[in-house]
Amino acid sequence: MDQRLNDALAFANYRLTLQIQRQNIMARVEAALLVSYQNSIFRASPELIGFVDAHSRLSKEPLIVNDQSDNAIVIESPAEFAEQLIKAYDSAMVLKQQEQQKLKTARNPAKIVGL
Amino acid sequence: MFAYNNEQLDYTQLAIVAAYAVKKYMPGMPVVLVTNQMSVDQCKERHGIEMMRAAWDDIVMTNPDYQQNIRLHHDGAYQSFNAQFTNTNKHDIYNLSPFDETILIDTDYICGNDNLSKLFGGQHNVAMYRDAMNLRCEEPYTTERWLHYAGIRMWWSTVVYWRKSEEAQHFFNVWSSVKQHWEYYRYLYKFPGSLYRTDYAASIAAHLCDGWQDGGFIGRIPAPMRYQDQRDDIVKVAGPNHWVMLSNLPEEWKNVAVEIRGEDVHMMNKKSILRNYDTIMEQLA
Repeated sequence: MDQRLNDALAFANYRLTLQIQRQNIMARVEAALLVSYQNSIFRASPELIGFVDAHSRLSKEPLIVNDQSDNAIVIESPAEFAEQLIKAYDSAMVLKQQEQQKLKTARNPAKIVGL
Repeated sequence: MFAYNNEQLDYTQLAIVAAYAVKKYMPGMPVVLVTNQMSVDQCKERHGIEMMRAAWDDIVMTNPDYQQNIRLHHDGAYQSFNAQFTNTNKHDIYNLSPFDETILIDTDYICGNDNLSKLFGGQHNVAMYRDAMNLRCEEPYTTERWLHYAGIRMWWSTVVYWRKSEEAQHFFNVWSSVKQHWEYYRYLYKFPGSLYRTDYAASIAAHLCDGWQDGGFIGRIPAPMRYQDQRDDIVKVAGPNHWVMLSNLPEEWKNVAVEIRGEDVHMMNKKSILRNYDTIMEQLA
């Protein structure tokens, strides 16, 4: 086979492995974003964190948010809840940043998967 | 977890790995094995009583009637074998479990984090995985998402959480009835093949209990269930929850190495676990 074609196929293999690895990192990040609080499971999204913070500052009504199963949950301690959400979000982002950084220097499929 | 050995597969050995993984990532969580006398005897002989004590807090003995249920297994892309699959009493777990809240996991489900522990005390009395993804982050085959192209969605019975309650009891009772009248339900829900699939039986039970609709009776375990297909293989065990695997396809030039870390993995290629047993146990110990 033409060397140029061989090189292109090797590059395609590298791109495929890289893309799957990126998606795998995202799957781990998604799992790390899950927070169990008051017998419900929440995803520590920036939107939820921002809403909890804004609600605490601007509203005197009870804080009610949707969990992952779409149940409306009354949060008894918004400050503690926000703290847990931020902690989960921060650790998930650290994980994502570190893993993506590792990928930047991986130039072949074996290196990408850590072989 | 259930484990009934057969001539081809040592399910108790798989159950040891699964139990060690649970204890590593959810320490303090009691693990109970449901099995039969023959499997316990084999396990004692092959793995020793100390290993069994370390893996399981209790062993529940059962003796399910033998019902021929031969299943084709693959071991990587190039080998396959037939083996008896004893899964006909999975729905009995409601009565067998000594706990108020239980998570039933298959012996080929290896925990890699503590996410399952978040189900305890949750909003649903029964929860299972609805979504899954393979090593390439792709959705499973259509037959593992739907029972029929115009039918109901499939729930994975690989992991079943339940809390002792009226709702959960209804679910397991209906599951039992579906099992008992499998031929009828097979035609009613229009799926091919005669193999008894617990995923399908649980999905039908969920549909019936939910008033013949998909209305949220079953809680979804958050995040999709990661699975290794039977045609895939383990290349390297890099850590207790760190794997390099080969995602195999019939077209060899499409095979790709994949790194999985920090996730629970449903390892459908059981022989790949058994081949790497020593290394996995070293990592989990």
